[in-house]
Amino acid sequence: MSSIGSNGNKLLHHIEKRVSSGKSCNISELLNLLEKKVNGSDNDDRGREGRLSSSKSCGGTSINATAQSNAAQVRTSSSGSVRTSSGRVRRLLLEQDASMSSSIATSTKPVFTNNNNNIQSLSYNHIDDDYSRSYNSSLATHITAQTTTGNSGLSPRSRTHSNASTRSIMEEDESLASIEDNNNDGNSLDGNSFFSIGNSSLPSRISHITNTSTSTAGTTLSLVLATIIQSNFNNCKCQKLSSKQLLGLLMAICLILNTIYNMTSSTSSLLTMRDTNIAEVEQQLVREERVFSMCNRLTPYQYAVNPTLQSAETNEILEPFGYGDKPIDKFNTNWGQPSLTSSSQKKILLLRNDGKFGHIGNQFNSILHAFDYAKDFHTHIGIFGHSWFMDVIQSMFYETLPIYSDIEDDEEEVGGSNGKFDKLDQELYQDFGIIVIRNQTQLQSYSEIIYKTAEELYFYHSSKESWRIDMYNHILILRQLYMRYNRGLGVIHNGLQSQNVCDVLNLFFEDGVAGAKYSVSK
Amino acid sequence: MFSSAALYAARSSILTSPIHQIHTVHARYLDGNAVWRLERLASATGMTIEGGVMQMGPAYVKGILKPLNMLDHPIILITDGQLAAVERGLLNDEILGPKLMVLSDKDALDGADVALAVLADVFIGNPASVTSGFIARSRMALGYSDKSTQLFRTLNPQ
Repeated sequence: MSSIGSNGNKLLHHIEKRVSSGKSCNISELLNLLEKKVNGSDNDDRGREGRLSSSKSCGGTSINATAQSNAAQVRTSSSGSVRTSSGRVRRLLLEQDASMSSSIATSTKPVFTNNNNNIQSLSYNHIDDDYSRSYNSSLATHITAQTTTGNSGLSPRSRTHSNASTRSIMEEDESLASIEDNNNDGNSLDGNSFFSIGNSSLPSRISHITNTSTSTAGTTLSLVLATIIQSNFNNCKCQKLSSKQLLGLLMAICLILNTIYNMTSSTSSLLTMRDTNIAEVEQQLVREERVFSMCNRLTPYQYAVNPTLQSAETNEILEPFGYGDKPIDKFNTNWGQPSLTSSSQKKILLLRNDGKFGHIGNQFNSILHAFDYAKDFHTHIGIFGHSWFMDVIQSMFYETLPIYSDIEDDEEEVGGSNGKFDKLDQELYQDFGIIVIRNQTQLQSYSEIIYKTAEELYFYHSSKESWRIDMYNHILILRQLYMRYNRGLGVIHNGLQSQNVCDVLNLFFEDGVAGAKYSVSK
Repeated sequence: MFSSAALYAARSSILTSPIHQIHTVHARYLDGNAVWRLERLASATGMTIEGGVMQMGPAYVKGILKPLNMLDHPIILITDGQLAAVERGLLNDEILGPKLMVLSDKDALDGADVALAVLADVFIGNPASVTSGFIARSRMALGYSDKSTQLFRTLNPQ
């Protein structure tokens, strides 16, 4: 059985109820008349895809409406089989449904499906939208609910089905269900309700606009049609329509066409508005504040993360996530040096394995001053894989976690791959703009290579005017470093196991409370 | 010979009672270059060297911890072992002594020692020590307040 749009279904269902209740009517005449008015022609019933043949009366007599294609079939229990078809009217209703729903989903191709209990619904198999893609299944169901619910009052069966269908999806997605519970009022099902999350005013506005247009138009269409048919059923009693009634029908149809036109024209603007705010909606949805925890101790440092990019539960290491009016809480790796692909003259500060200077405090100061130097002279920072810089960094941070695939990488290391350290090199470049030199050919593109020892960098100081900027950069660098503190689970550049920086803390808390959470007084 | 010490006080309370407390004190030897730095810092900031950061005496430690209500919590002393007077002075104090624990006598701190100091609730360091400066800067990066990181202190005559 093919299916039709929900509005068409409701109309036919309404007609069916009239027929089954024994009230006299001339359905075929009425539908034929509607069809003619839509087509603007009184003749040529045949030859269209909905070829109509009907008897004069309907009281206890079967009315046969045969459609050559896309026939809609409605069966009644009292009058036997009643098959009605009006291709043009049905198509109009289908277009109405499609246009209403297209105001919600972009680039959708309506697929009319039939479900088990003969309640026809509208679903969408493709939503060409990054944000909506992740909610594809739920969105399709919501759109179905919206399309059906928009014509409230005409088809309780359809509405019940919509609720059931939505609930089934909700049960699969608890988080979405909680969102629905917070944002839906009573029985109102909102096709875009998943936009209305938390205190987001903008998604609510989008949802409101979209729902207003769709539900109002749908309700208007249905009410007009129902009123017209109701009045005709009550008044005509299988008689010819009077000119007044005909005029009323004509006006109603014009109103329908006008509404459909307005909806179609407003759809693009609504979708544009929605698309431009998708990023904001997504941020509001996924933003999550986290307290940085180190060695099972909570620190005062809080940052926002995007759990859709990195699962907070499965990945302990989370990256800061800038948002709102807060600056991006991350070190800016562009300090004025030319880009790697630039053809201009490039300089690089190269740090080798020529010995560390001082104790751990001096060593980290040398690292921080290297960034100051690179900023002042617009140079890249390059370090050898086995340099004092790498040694100092990995004494506390950026251990290389073991990955099973590294075993294979190690075997292929003779081919030029750095195996497990490839990821380390990428992270150091992404987080700090540090280029790890593994091959001398990496230095060929530089016009000048500057060598500095750890001691020279330790005693290097920027100008007094820039100390505020330097201090801010140091804070960001240290913050980024501490977010990757060593847990003793991986290895460092020389192949030895990394030191767990929590060892001393665990020494004091090893008496059964090592895993406890500790409060921090600011 | 001058002595200096980095004092590290930590309060670690478990979320569920009873409260588990811990304190650490770290003291290490600094030679003439550090003294010169301290004197420069003192002239710039007005901090007290003698009787203050140089000796890390009990009065100095209690003067910091008491306003913070941290006197009842353990103190961890991180020391290089060359300044026995600092360790002895704190151990002989009737208030601090019972709560004092000596972490190590290593010449240099490693990452784990630094992490302990960084994650403490209160850190009292020697501004002449670069390591103390690094710890203080790390604590600043992680959002610890100024009151919880004590480097520059001036003795109040009253």
